[in-house]
Amino acid sequence: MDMSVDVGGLALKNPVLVASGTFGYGREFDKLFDIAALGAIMVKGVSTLPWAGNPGRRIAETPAGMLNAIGLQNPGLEHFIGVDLPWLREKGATVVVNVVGHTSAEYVAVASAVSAAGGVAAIEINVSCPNIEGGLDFGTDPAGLADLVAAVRRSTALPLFVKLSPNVTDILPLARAAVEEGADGLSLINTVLGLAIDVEARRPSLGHVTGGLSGPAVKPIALRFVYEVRSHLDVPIIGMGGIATARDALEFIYAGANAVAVGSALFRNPLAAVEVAEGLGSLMEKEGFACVAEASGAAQLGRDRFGPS
Amino acid sequence: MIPGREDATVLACDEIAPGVFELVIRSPRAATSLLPGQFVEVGWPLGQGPFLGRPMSYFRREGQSFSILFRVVGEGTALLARARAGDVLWVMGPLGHPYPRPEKGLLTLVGGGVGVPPLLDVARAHIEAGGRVRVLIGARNRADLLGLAELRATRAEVACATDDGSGGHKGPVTDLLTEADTFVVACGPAGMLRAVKAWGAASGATCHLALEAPMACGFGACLGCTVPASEPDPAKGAYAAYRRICTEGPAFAAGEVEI
Repeated sequence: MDMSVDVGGLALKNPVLVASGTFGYGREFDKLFDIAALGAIMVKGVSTLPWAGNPGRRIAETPAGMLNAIGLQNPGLEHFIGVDLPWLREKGATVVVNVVGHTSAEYVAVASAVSAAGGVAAIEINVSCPNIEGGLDFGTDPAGLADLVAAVRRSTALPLFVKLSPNVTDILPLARAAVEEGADGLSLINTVLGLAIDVEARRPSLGHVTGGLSGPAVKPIALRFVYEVRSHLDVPIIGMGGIATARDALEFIYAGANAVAVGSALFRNPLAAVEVAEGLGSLMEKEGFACVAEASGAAQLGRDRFGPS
Repeated sequence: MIPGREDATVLACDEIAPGVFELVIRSPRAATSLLPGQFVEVGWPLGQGPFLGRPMSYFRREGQSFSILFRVVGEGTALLARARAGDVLWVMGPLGHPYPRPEKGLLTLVGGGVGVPPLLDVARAHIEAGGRVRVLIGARNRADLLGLAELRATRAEVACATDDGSGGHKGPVTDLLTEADTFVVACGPAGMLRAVKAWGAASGATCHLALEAPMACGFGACLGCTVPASEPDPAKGAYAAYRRICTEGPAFAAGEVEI
């Protein structure tokens, strides 16, 4: 079984990545397994300057998942390029840099600097974080997203992925805007906006009030987005949202993903992505596929089954 | 020792006080590597319980097993309380740093409610190292005073306080702190920790506070269990505004964190 896959110019040794925000910059996991064995590491979002993150309670468990409102706490571009990136390079990891910002100029600054730094396999722009002011603005307005993607596109020659938000009525105009402005692929999906209530305290559980829902609870939502976008657009997709087992990963590939990322499941099992990759290989072999590309979209019934759009 | 994750088998689960359970788990890797004050994440096989594990201090430790002591407060702890011998859970650990201790002399441990369990092994370790230990335990009432017999068996001096006066001093456990207590480690509810911090600031004693928070991972990746730092390192900018309870803690110098 050939596990290697090319996703929009991003060459991966296997199709199982780890999702941004669930793997830090790899250090906590490096103690537990060889992080170079992962398809790629989508590192925690990097901004121009260090970000403190949100005050108050940041985590609330929910049925089959969790809400988080971390607020993109990160050490900033200088620290990432000076300390984290050289370390990741030394470890032999395939690195996808997740870029966050408040303005188009901030995204461009991070994307161009990490591209110039070398040792980066791809850029993923996060236009869909529900936990920062304005974090969802780029990801819910097709015109704004088009301008942002165009600007970042001009700043890097690396494969460029746009991580879209599920918190929209229709994702297709956003997906199209990203692709038309030069994105090489889409990451689907970011977390689903949610809320938890602390009954004893009679107030929202999270300090930020709302948070991003992840874990098995969002898997059907993510699968729907992957399936829908694949049925309308010929664009490479990294599918994510609630993947905890090899069978989950295969569902995303059948729905139309070219690769997948494991996220919150790493919090309950830091080896989850490694185990998913191993299990996925055996599963696809058993199903008679010779490579991942053969299996991608295997469950697609055709465009007419999702209605005109 | 770096943390690891292993399947663990439940050996016993008993209600040792109203609503408080002791769960004994066979988990060789954690049991043989935990240091006093460190903790574990305990969780369920996928689909057989909550998605995330529960961060838990350990209480007793013997051979290849250890126990956790917890009050039933939600769905996760209610499910743990129903665990039976032979059930399979997972354990990730050891997590966090051991509690700090003075090189010699008196160590005063303050425990409130279910903050008492981690103090047992800390007391034992300090006494075995030739030190003296005073343990001050607080609870709402006599029935909720946890770990008394086990703590006394370590030869620690134990004093109690209860809200209703049914066991020991009537009033907050921090009333029992005296001038002799110069190195204090406290674990318990936020109100108790704030009282210890205030007492330490007034008395000049060295106080450490063991904190807890909802955690997703327990090993430093999710940034979910942060606490505001009192004096962030300016060189690190905004990123240093918070510290991770799971990784930099769970015990912090009282002046290091805002609680």
